[in-house]
Amino acid sequence: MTLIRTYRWETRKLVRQKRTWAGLLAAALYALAFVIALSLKKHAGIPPDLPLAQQLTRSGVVLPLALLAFATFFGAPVISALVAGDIVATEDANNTLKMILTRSTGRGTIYAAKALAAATYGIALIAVMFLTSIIGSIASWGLHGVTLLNGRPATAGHALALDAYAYAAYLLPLAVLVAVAFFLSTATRNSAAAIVGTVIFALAFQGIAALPGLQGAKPYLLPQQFDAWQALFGQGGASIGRAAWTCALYSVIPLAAGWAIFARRDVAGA
Amino acid sequence: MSEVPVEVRGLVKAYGPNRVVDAVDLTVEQGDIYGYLGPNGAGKTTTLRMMLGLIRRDGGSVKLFGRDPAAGIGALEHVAGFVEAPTFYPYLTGRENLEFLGTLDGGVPGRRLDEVLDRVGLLDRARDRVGTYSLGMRQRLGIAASLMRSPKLLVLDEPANGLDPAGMRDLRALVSSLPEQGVTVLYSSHLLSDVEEVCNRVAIVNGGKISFEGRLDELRASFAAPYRLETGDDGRALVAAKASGALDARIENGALWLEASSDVIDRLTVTLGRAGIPIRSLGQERRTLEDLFFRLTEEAA
Repeated sequence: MTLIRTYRWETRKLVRQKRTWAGLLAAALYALAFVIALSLKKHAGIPPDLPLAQQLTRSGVVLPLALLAFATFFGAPVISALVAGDIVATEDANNTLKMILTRSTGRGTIYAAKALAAATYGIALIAVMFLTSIIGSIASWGLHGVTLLNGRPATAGHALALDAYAYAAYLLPLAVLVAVAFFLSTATRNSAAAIVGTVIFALAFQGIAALPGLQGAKPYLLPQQFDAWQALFGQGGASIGRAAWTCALYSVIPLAAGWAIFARRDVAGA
Repeated sequence: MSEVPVEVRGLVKAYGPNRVVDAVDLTVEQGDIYGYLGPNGAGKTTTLRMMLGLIRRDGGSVKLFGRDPAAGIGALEHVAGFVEAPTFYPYLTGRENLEFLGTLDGGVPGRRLDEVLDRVGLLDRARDRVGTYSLGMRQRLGIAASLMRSPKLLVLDEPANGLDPAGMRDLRALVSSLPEQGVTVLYSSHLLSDVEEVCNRVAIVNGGKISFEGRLDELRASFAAPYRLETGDDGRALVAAKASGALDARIENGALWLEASSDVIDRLTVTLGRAGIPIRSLGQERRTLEDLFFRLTEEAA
């Protein structure tokens, strides 16, 4: 119960901070800009191997998927780290850790509540991106059924539900970015360092995935998990199950490392 | 639960070769308002941080009501307070900050929040964001946040910082009233006048070491106040004073200053009379705690 109450307060604190709204607004503007850009230039910028790319102008349900593919490389690390990378560091900036760590709630509960609040922000981020992109693209191209990769038709409603599942599946690799940003926030005690560090982490993983000789390992590397949602549309090689366990593993490592630091850290002056 | 609120023995904190807290012993008894005095950088706040489990110690032991805060948050069950300035979330209101802290304490009824806010004179500003508060208001909110836990030991670090004269008066009155309610107070400060007014026992720390621990009257008694003697011939009186056994005698600011026992002073006055040296005035200076504090800290330095 203490964890739930503390988590509620941590989310309440996030809601009261401008940074949180800036992150959500950035996500909405990012999605909106993507919709507008593709409305004007049709297929421009869409990876040719993206499922259903050829049906972009036939139904508004396709564009949100293109946004997911794009966000993996540009946007997701920064926007997710904006709050997750600040949530512990801001306690250092405000010098408030000493205040909360001398009450009756242990460090473990506080750490867990903050991690859950950061994850909640990640969910809100994805929800905003989904809603903005789906509303914008349906407004541009209408809500129509599509043909899936296996040749079976999907009604508009079914396709819309698959979009929602795709965004839910995207939460798995996003959770890794949130966990990394959270770890860096704890370790560096500096929001800016946590944001930059998360971006570098994402880029480094993209680089590792591109190294020759790693074909066998590629399905288990983080970049591949950002494409796991494509399994919903019949894309071979993608697996949401594999994304679930690999992302859980990738998330647990920084969270555990962060906890090892947080549990033992001295709370000295600002 | 042990009856002794604070038992610190041989406490050590070192940063590299620098021991900022060096074998500190403190005992705060039930009902004490215990002054912890020292100049800036003396190690007061570091000691308090170790006592509250915020930083790890490099040696010694801390017991709060018999429990070690390094072993877990449970040792702070009956303890509240703040180190350095109390800090809050500037984007939350004063009341919301207390609500949040109350949640971390397992939940505090709204009635209790209003009660402590009223007690520190912040009830009418409770719904304003803390970012709009003055330093003094934050200090008062810090005290409210501490009282909210109904502690048996209250640890206050420089609580008068930022308070105006009326606020300081109210703080002294509040602190003085706490022992009647079963609250022991550990009051860390460099404001000697505050400590002198509200505390019954003190420890003076300098360079990480305790220079004195005990009752205020014991502290005063441990240093004999100097005598100020005005005579018709200070030069001859100085020679007579040294011959009479004064520990220290010097001419300063138009008078003869003597560190001596009352027996020596008695003998000296007789000697001066016999020698025909007129005595114009003789009196013993009252030593304030500040005098003693400076003497202790300067001696240690």
